Amino acid sequence: MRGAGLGALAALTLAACTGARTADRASPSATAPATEPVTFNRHIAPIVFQNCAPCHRPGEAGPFSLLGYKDVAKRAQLIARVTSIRFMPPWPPEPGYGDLAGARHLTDEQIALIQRWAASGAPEGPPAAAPPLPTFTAGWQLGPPDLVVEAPQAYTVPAEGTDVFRNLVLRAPVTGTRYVRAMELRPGDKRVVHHANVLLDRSGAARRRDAHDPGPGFAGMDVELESDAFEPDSHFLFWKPGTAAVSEPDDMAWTIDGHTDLVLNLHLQPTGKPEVIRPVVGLYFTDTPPRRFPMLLQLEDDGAIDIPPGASDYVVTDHYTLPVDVEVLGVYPHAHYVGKDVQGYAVLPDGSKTWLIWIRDWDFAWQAVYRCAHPVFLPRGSVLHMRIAYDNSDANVRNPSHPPRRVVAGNRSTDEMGHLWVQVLPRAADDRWTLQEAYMRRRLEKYPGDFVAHANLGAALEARGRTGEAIEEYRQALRARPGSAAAHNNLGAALQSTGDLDAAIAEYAQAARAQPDYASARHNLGNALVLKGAFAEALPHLREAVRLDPDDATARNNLGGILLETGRVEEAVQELRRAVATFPGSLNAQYNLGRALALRGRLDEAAGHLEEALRIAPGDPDARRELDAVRARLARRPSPPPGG
Amino acid sequence: MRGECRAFAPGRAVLAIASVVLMAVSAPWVTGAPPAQVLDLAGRPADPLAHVGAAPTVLVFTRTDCPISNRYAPELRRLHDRFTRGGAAFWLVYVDGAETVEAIERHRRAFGLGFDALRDPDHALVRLAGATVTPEAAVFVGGAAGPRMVYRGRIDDRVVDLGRTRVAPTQRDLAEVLDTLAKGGTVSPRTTTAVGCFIPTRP
Repeated sequence: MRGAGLGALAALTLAACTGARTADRASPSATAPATEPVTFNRHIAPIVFQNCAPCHRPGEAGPFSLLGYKDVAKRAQLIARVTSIRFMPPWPPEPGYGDLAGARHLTDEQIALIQRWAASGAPEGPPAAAPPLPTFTAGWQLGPPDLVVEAPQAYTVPAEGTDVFRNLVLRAPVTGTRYVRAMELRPGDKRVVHHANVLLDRSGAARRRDAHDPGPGFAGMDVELESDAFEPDSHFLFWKPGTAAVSEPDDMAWTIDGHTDLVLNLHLQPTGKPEVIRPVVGLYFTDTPPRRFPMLLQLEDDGAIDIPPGASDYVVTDHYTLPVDVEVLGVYPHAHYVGKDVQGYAVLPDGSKTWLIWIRDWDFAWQAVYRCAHPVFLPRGSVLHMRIAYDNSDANVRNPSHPPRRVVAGNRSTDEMGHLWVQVLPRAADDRWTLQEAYMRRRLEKYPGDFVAHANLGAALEARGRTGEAIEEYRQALRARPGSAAAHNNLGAALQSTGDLDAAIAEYAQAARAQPDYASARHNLGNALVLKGAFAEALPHLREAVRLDPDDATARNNLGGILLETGRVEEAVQELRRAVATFPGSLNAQYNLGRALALRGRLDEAAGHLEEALRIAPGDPDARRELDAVRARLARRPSPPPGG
Repeated sequence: MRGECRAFAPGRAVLAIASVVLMAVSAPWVTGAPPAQVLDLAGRPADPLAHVGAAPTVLVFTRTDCPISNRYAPELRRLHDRFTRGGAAFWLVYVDGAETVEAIERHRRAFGLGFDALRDPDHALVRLAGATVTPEAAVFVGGAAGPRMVYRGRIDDRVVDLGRTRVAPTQRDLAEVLDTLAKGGTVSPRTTTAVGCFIPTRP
């Protein structure tokens, strides 16, 4: 039985900053006595090579290289300015408020050295003091990927205008389920792609949006995808310049299959000329299935965003009480252009406060996923807090509206959002459902009657064996959104698990009517009708299920089985062969194919599949009986003439 | 060569605008240092201010690798197309002497900047105008005593500081100056602060 859960929340992977590998020269650069001349070779090069060169080198996002004295000296004044205002290197979080990996934050002493150096004419200094040039890994940072997927079409970023938000849909050509330990994104021209989130879509929703939007991909600043599967492996999949993919621990891989779309949510900045990009994704697989499952919690209160024009300190907050112990692995704050101050922290049961992140001068352009340097343990009962302040006054130069106008929540750049995604790792896999239940109950506090909350709460309760409560939640979800195919489908699955096959069939049928190309609903409806013995009614739904999902071995086996029962043996053989090829471990498919081949007189082949069925389920009486019959017929068959 | 740089000689004409320009322009000529060279892309000495008349001459200081300059390329094309119809002259002035002619040509093609371009490796024009960053514009009009700078500064107010940019400009300074001149009006000399990539000071 498939179909459970509405995971409307997007999966996003942690990327850590890739520092250049430099010789350990940091110490001589840290300070210089006031009387000592500050020189490039002794003091400045170690700072620049470590903190600037990862992006400021050929092929990377920086607009010019900073790999040698001449490159750096002619921009001494610029470097002095951008470091003094802490625009570069870009690291918006406030030091000391959260322990974040890959911090690229210059110390006050380093900045002072740069100022002294620039003011003194940017001297080179003795060559003997020069550190070696940094070395960087060329090409794929993690080595050759196991699979490379390219965007189906190139996308052209216009020469000018406001920033562009484009979503490109990529399908990885994999069969079966693959476990992904790392993903590396090559976005195209890194001077154009400012950052990218990658979402996993197993529902086809992004593909449908792509089809309805002219040009490659579809427009949209934020993507929320409705899925009919709870995402068991919620990872941040994120790229920004100067970062490389992080390999997940071997037991924390995420999964894709032949029906998973990778949705690249790209933030693109016009450069002054049209730019053509065609992103490429490299996937690194592992054979180890995940055993630890992180989860993404989203703190938000977008419903409270209604910022009057001129308001310079409009605050939106949210909180979430952890029902189980967790470790926080990373955070991803998100607001648009009038966001001003973003805070994420936890208040522990003893009243103490643990900071996760504080960005005092929020800049949409530099948003990023931040990975914790070390997992942050939060005991059960801790409360996660988000606090975001907005400046919708004319004094906020990033305000997209001039004069300011009322701002509400939405997906356009002139709308706002206020989200704090927190990636948590519960101790036990089942704890995720406890987290999910609490998460959705909190959502219902904010948004009574909310479809997403009721639907996801239903899935969480069902997973915890509370089917009766789950059915009520699904019904509430359908009151909020009567046409939801996914909610009808899930309600059907819950009803079927209580034994109410007729009620289940009615719900599946509604799901299939609401969305005729919904493979899961067709699968469930066809199989339920088979269970009821309504073969003729089941047939078209199963045909549609395997058309929509050619790898659906269960539906294909049932389809073959019906064809066999109704005397269309050759057709049955064809379908059952495909079912067996897709899932050789299926007892029913092996048994059905054995029977079908026997009916066609292909006794040797039939015996082989029935023997396979008995290897899968030794002692299965039906398979044993059929195999005995086939062997008896084989024994009666005349031997071929000698030499024939 | 000095004779060809006629516009540079009458430093007194510039004196009326702003002292910073006077000081900047006086240095290479009064000290007897070798004359600063402004070159066209064929390597010939050039003087964009040789024939400034009633219609303005606009210098836009730029370089190939300044992202702030580059983002202004479409706006510069629009200003060029709009005001050259009325007789204005537009010059791109590449300020980095290390940038080769080939690199500049590639840059102009890539960004569709088909209008006239010069190299200012010795910063003669940079000093004359008092430009400090790229992109920065200077507008000259003809006068009885030679060319007179009536505006120097930002193209518009989109870039507020490094890393702090408006979604759209609220003040289009260069266009307003050129619009006034195109309508036959007079412009009181003024400067604004441009934000961009610093032009390194030359000794």
